[in-house]
Amino acid sequence: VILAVLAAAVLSAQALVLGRALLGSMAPDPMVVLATALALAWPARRLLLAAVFLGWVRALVLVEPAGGQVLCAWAALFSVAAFRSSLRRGGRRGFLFAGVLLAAVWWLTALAVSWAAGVHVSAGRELLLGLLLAVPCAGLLMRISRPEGGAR
Amino acid sequence: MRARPGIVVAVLCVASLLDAPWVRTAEQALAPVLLVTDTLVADLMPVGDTVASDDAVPVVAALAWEAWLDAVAVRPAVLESGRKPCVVPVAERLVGRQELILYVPDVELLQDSPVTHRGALIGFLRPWSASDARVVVDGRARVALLGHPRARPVAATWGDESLQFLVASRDEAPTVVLRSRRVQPLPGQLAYSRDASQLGDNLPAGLAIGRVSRSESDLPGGALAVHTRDEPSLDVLLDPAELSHVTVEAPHDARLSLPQVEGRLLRSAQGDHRWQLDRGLLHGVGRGDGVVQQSRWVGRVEWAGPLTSIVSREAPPGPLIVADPSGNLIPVGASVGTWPADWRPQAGLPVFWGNASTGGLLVGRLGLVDQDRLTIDLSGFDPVRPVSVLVR
Repeated sequence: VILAVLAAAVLSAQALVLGRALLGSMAPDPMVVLATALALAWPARRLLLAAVFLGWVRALVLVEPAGGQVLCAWAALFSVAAFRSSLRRGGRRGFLFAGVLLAAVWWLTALAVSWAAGVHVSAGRELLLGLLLAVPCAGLLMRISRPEGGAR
Repeated sequence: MRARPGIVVAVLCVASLLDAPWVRTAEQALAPVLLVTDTLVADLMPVGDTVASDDAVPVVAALAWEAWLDAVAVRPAVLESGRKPCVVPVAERLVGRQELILYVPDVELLQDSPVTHRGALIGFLRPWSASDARVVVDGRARVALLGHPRARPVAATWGDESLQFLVASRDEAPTVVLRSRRVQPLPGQLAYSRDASQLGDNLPAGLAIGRVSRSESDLPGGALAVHTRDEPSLDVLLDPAELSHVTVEAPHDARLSLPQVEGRLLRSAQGDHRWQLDRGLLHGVGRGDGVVQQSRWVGRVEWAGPLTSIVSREAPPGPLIVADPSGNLIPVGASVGTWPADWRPQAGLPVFWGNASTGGLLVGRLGLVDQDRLTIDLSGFDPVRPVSVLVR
């Protein structure tokens, strides 16, 4: 599962690279969909590992220090996980709301880290645009993102 | 005691944000995983940066570089028999130790031979160490700058031969000793090497050594008094910290071949500013290495990981050569203080740079001056073709 998540992170990061080449700053970041699904599905003890994978891979394609993106992913994943049970009850809308929450926390953390460390940490509209990719299949994604091993 | 993973990750994140070199290098360890899919993605990429093949670029860049080399290597024609002036890159500047390290692979150099730049004497080649008398070790040579205890004395004059003296290193500065007359040199006078071949010294005459430095102080009435110290020191003319190339005496058949590593640049999500290079520390690539493609400058290695590196699209270090509309080649630095007097940059003029192994390279065109610094619109490159990394 861990390798599958890493592979998915790499593919979504490459999709962002390709998207940036084709669409410029309007390119969506599909990683937000993956991160939302992981935040809803994985037990809290594994979310740190997920944050490291997602932040590290995203930082590599954005050519930034990995520390900033890992901190953003960490804060975003744990924020969504904190409201997991109520978000899951919302079904399709719950998944999309979880995505918005994740994107907002990621963006705010990036602002805070950029301000505190004086290093540019990229996060912006591509996260919300990425969430648009999940709109047609949000219900399915929510069903797939059932908690592993009864994680709450 | 077992550290909690969260604390370890947090510490590593902070270290990464603080630019800790070992963490930033380790971060690149995951980059080869991306390279697997990069090749697939690269085929789908639009080729927006492809530059039209312009046959004139190599020729013009080579002419600019050679003209600059001629200016840098300018010096009196008297050389050791069988030797020629050869412009070589500076690998390291140990200014605190009054030394330069030159990169001179496969070039045979002589101990105590002069090192110059644009007709000014900078110092002399010295043995590598107290225990190793060789001048070139692992392709590197050590220069004792003027003022270094190992820099040999120089027979000198103020120019008209009326006053002759030796310049020796005292108190970490080139100092006038053994004057032929008790005449006090005026502050600001230039000292040149003089012909002492009759004494067996083959240092060419006419090399600029330095300018007389004399402390001055106000006297009542506003006059200036010249301190009559017996041994005035000389201010050297060039700041060794700014030198990127110097001239040495090399054998006539010497060819400087600097190592290069072939690689390929892969696009990042940062667009045109930063690229991933599929070569890293294990291939010999290091931080600060230049990246070129044929006769065009591409950028510099910002970070080098074990197998991949990050290349930043920025101008090369050292003097750039600007070709003005009348065909003059003007060496300029990035900041206004390095520009020739009365020179004002004009947007759109071509900018060149050079390297001992690649020759002249087109860097781009002058942009606008921003906060007294030049901005350069870098020349495009073809991401489909391989690039060469100039390994230092």
